[in-house]
Amino acid sequence: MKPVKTISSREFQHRFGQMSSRLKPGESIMVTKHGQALGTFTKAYKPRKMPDFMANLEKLGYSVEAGEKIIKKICELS
Amino acid sequence: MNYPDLGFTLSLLLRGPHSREAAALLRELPYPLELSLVHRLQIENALFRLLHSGDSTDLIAGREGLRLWRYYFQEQVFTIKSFDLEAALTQATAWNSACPVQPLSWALLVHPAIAATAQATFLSFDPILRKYAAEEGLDLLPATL
Repeated sequence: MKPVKTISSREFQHRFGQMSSRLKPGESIMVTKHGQALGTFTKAYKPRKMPDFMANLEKLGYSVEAGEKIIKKICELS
Repeated sequence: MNYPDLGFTLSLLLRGPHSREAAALLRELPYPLELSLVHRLQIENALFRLLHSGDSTDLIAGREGLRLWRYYFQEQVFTIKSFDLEAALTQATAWNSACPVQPLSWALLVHPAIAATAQATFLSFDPILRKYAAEEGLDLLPATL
């Protein structure tokens, strides 16, 4: 997707903090010099975190011992 | 990158003795966990077999395991990455030939071999598979058993 906003290279250098905090993750801004496009800056998404695997497993309706037997059986039969 | 063996990956889908440690380890690792097509075939095959085993616990484990498996792909917690499977199978074949005692199943041996071709950190609770990976110079997680 093309960036819709533009910023001069001078402003980009001097107002980087202010400019980047206004952008939403994934949103881009075109950096220009003398009216010519230099490149785009895209704000990164925040790194995603792994889910709570254990919380998901604890909801399952069987015991650790039963699960152990099943995992062992799968590994032996594979 | 990080590459888990079959047992480690199953511990995230089926509630077993290593599930807590596997879950805690993954929480510290970068997102997503890259798996191979070998994982996909082995795990889906095993879970579908559980669905048809006729045992009620197997049925719950298969159904819930498949649900979690699909959910983690949907959420991009897991992704499938392309690995050099021919090189990995060649490596696993060499280990199989050189094994002085009864070798492990090829389906287990192939995972440290895939990790070795990718020079990945190997995630495993199996001491024998960890030994193969360590001999290839791979880092191991957990660091100790």
